[in-house]
Amino acid sequence: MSFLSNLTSKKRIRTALRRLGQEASAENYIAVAREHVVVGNLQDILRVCSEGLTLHPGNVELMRIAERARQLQLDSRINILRKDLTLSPRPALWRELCDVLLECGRLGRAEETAEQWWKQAGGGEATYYRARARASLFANSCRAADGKAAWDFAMAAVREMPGDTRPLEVQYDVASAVGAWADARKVLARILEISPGHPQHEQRFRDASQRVHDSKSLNAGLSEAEATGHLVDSADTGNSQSNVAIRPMLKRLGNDPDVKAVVFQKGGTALVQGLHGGTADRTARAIREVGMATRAGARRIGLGRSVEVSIEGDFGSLMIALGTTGASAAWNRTYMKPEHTEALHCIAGTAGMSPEGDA
Amino acid sequence: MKTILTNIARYQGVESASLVSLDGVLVLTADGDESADASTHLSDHDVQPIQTLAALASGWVGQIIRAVGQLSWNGPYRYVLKATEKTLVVHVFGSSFLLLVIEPEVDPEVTRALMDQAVQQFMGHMQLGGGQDLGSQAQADAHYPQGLFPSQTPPSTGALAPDGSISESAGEG
Repeated sequence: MSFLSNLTSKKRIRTALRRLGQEASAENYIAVAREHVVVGNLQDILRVCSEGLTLHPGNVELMRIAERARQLQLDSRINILRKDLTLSPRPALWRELCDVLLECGRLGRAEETAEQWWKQAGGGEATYYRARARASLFANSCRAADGKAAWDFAMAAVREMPGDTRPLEVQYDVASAVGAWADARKVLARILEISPGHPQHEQRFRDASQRVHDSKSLNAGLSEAEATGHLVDSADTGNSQSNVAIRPMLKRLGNDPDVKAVVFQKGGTALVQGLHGGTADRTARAIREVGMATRAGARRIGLGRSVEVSIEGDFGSLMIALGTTGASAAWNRTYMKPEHTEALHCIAGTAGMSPEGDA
Repeated sequence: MKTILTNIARYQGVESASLVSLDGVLVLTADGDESADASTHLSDHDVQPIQTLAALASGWVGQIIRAVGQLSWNGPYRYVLKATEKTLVVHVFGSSFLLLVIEPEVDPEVTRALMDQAVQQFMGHMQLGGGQDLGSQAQADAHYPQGLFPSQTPPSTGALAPDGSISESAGEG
């Protein structure tokens, strides 16, 4: 950045900060964060976003800017680690690189890195990271093959690192995610042998013991997860919003003259805005079927977890944002606007959930 | 026809472009670097995943058409499925569809103009090919007896005029 543009950016930042001082609104926080984006100072962006989100929790734009800044920060760390690894490969660097890649959600790349590490140096730690990457892939895609591979890698890591609880925790994650409570209980018993008295593991052990009567085998659980696309303990069930919070959002979206109907579905319940009676029922049912077919299709094709589906025809356009527990859809007369897409993702609780992007 | 697919597949972020019939049979495919006739140039090992993808995508399209059919909607012509690992874009025309697999970070909207153009080119090819086929079919039919009801002319769906335009004729039967 040239001296002149640097100077003007600083001036704009000062102006934006003055405005923020007068009124601490979300828009003013966003304006300051955007000015920092122009300068490219990631620390300042994160600081402003964090401050803004404390005052205005759940602001989508602030969350998006913060997430992007964090991704950029992690990207630069990945580049540094890669350079260091070519110079002097050592376990600490491999470990950090795998951790950062997993944190970024670049699961495929994390597994490749762990495999590379395993090929170069071997060892249980590399196998453990392969297991973790596969377990995260399984949580995203619900593919039985990923779950089985994660379990097997973790098993191999347990043999190589008998005193370490981390691979056992991966096994617990897989088993509990598919409702294989008997296997989960066995794994937890081994974890408690290694680290007795750990309160979280003890709590989990009690839970698994209570649910062991309706346990299924690991293979059956994996197959069921692949068929239904649902895990027993979905991590982001807490992310879903209540009907009370969703209704005004549906209403706001439905007020657009281009929108014919807005639907939110969760389980067997549907909230429909813009249509009434039998038409609303039929539309909700059709949208549910489109969503189900898409989830199943994406899994069969191997595209990972489906996030969004849109179709266009002489009826207009229909877009469905597919969350883990629910789905929101809008039927428009013409093309779907970006703000509608964003609103639908916000309603479905998938805002900020971006597809895996390997740089 | 292969060139049309290759041109799309060369676009940044596009992993593969395929022409598939609505019943799921792969007709042509091209990836980012090369284009090939599915039946002749690629080995079975190379083509098999794309054939599977074509069949599964066709199944998905069929399910959606059935689902929206309950609302008396006609079949959609453009489908976009965004997932965590890949994005699938389908453009249906006639009894085929153009299938694109793109990187998740690529906005499917950028493929819209490309696909529209490709579809127009494909339809041009098909109309030309279809017209010639109809003409040759008529010549072949002339050698056979007219059938049980000689006074009833067989319905014809269209014929290629000498200037290249399509003239529609409804048929009497």
